[in-house]
Amino acid sequence: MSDLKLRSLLEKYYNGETSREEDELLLKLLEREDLPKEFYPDRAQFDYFEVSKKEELPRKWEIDLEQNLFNAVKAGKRPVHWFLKAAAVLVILFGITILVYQYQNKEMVWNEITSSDQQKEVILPDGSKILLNENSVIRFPEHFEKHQREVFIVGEAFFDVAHKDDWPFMVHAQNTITEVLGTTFNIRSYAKENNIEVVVLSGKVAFSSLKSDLQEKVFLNPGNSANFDKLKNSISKFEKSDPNSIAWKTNRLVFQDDLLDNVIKILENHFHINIEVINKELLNCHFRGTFENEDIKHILEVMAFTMNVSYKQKNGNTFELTGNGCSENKN
Amino acid sequence: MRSKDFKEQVYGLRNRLYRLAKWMMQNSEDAEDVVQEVFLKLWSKKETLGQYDNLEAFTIRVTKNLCLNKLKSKKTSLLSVDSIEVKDIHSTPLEVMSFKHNREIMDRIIGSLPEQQRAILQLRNVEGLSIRDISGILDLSENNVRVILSRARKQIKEKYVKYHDHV
Repeated sequence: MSDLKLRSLLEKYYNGETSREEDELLLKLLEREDLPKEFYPDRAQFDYFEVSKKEELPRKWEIDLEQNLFNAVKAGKRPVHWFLKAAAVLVILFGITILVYQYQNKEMVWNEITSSDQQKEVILPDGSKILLNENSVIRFPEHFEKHQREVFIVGEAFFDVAHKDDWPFMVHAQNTITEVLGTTFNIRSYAKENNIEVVVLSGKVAFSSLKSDLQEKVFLNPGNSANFDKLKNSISKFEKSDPNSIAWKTNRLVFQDDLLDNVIKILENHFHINIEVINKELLNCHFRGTFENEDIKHILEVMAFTMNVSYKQKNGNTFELTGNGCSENKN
Repeated sequence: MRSKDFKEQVYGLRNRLYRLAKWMMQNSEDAEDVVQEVFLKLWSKKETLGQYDNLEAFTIRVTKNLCLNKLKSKKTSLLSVDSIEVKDIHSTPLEVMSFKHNREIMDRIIGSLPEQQRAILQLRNVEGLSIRDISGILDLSENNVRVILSRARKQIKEKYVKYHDHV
């Protein structure tokens, strides 16, 4: 092809009008051994693009990310193909062999499941169901030991423990131990917070701490809750529990004449938002209401209506409350 | 979207997104961070990803926007790329001949282009996307895309010639 043709194709290229096929043709023409010097600057940019096309992410990056994303999601539900079921039977048979072998060798294999910004359901080897709240981790053995079931958590989790007599279930959360046989309860134990909290919904729970001076153990019945204060190293038991402590699981928020200051903290926590209060006197108002599966806008709407305040959304996550305290409300 | 589909349809685009991020950020470390952030974001939204009929376009747009945000916050601390003149680079005649050197010069030139030009040039000349797809991703008319593309290609040539005349 003549230089003339090359020149006219290049002109089209610099006008942004070549097709992909024409770009490829240009590349071929510019790679010519005996290319006249005047075309070197044109070749330079085509060479540059060619090298850019081959760039890829380093393997190490891929391994890190893949571990972050795919390995933490064993708990997801999927339809199972019959072939996989058949394979599973073989795996289980093989597993039993390994189990027996392992049991004899007293070696434990631990699983770790992490939830990042989404709640995650986990089913333990004994059939117990765990719902992990956001940013939490649970560690449990592939097979529980014969005399006890032991798991470790960081963050918050709701437990529905399969009832088994003579097979106690223990949850380690930082320095605390929660022992049960078969119950439903919630543990909140984020490293950043000063308190570790246990709330019992059904069954009996014994809560203790390795750190507390007296090695005290408190027994909790349904409706009770207990706190371990990390700064004071002491456990307190409460007959009643905060109805909102498991709202993250039930999406049910209950306010019984609570101070607005508390209400706002609970809402901020639950919806991952910020609420700015312009007039601080508002914080002393009281608020009552029950919300099930409602969004933040609905709740603010109700607050605005009952407390003579108004709200606006400043941006995606920030809301602003304005008003002049509350005369007709209690206090 | 199920994890398996995510792996195939979204994660499979990683190198393409990385190349775009590298062009935009002008260094591989920042680009790696951007792409990681993009995937963590997409993963957390994977239930709703099925709604997009063109996932590729969507992920490219997310990546480009994240790059622009990062560049914006960087600009206050760094001196603007536009102020770097290509002729500032001193080199011996021997160096000028080498391929590596040529690549460095081109890096500088590309880095000196406005972000919009860089994005369009990358999507067209490296990824081979159609003008129509690019116009959809960037919310520009097809004609506009062609004009910006033309400007970018011409600028690269001009700066390259200017540099070599200077040496």
